[in-house]
Amino acid sequence: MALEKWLWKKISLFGILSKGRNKIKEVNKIRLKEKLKKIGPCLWELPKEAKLGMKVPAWLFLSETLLKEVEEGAVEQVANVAFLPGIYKHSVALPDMHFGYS
Amino acid sequence: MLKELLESIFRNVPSGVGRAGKVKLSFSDLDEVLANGARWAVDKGYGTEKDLEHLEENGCMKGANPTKVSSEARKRGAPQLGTLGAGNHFLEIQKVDKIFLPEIAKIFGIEKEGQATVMIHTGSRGFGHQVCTDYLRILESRFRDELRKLPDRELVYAPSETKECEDYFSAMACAANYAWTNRHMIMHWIRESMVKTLGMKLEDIGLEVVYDVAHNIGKIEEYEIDGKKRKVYIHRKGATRAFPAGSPDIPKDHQKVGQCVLIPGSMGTASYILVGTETAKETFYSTAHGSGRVSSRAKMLKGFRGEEVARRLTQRGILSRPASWKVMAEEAPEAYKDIDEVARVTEEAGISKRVVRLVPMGVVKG
Repeated sequence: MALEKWLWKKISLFGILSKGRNKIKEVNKIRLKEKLKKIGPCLWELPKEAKLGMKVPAWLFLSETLLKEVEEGAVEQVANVAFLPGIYKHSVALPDMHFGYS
Repeated sequence: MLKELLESIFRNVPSGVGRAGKVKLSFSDLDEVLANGARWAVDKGYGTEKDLEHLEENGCMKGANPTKVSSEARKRGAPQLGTLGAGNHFLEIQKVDKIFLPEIAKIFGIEKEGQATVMIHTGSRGFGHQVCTDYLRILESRFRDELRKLPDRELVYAPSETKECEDYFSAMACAANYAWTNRHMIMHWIRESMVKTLGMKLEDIGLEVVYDVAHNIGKIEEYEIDGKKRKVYIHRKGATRAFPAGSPDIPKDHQKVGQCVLIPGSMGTASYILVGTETAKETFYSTAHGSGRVSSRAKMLKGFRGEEVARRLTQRGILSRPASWKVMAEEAPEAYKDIDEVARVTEEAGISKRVVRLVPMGVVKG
């Protein structure tokens, strides 16, 4: 009985923890897309302060409509490219940007 | 007639996952392809000398060195040259739906609405994939410290001027040359099918090359950086080169207007021909390359059936000749962004201008 209670506690504690962790992940994700600043008619800038390690800003060429469909993971990928040493000016995402490598 | 033509092309151009081609290449033949690109194809009787003028780099990137390519890559590459492959790769008979800039269209060879065109979307097949896999492995073990500072393993790189950097670049150039040759052979077989099915001479059909441009490639180009002219690596991953008018690296007859840019849509949707602009300087003369996936392949397989997708295309007057129903479902138009919006934004952002909108009449799908 005691063991059962103890196990239950552990399980529910784990549940809370993993929920919490997911929440932090979720918040972080929302933030990156929210950090985009509109700097032209079809141009958004992700400042290099948006993610620690970016050497230059990221430029995303999108309309409001296209931006709505852009996955958070895709914005993260343009941010990650801006980590590369020797990168000049900005990393670029084009209007057909999407998550993944294929 | 369209149905017979499509059927003839389907039989003449091998397509489908990992399907072998009809040309048997020895490893030494393959090395010639890797070193010489589309020039090899022309020497073997595929297409003509004149075609080469309308290929990016004239179909052969300098610096290609076949000794930098693994035997695994050769094993995958030799049997696949002259094949369409699968996935989002396709071959389409299209018609001109709308001309935005008639004068530029004319220079590219597009005269009027309703004119038929053919678009080929394929690349370096398993060969290029293997070259990439091989070098990722090499770079991951050689540049561990550099990799540790990166947030994504797939971004592993070779610092410039290292041996690994030079080696990779020479191997990548081989893959680019393979791709130009591959498309050139496929184009030749399409011409053959047209001549046979239509019972006309090629001169009367036309079917000249408008342009051939890569959209997954690394290039060394010269840019003014902090007031100094410098040679830099430009990485175009899912991006098309879009040079402006006057660029020495585009065909002579296009130099007045700018480079011809091809944006293939997804299966059953429109495609675009655009032209490079000076304002694309901000993207290092790069523009969009397609419509961009919105739903994953797995998600598409759950929600769609290939037979149903083909039936709906037929209802819209588009004939399809798929090698697999699975690919038909994965590549249904719903899997992609709206190509018209992508092309419109490309123009509004100043990174290239719309010249022609094309719509499909018949699709051969891998």
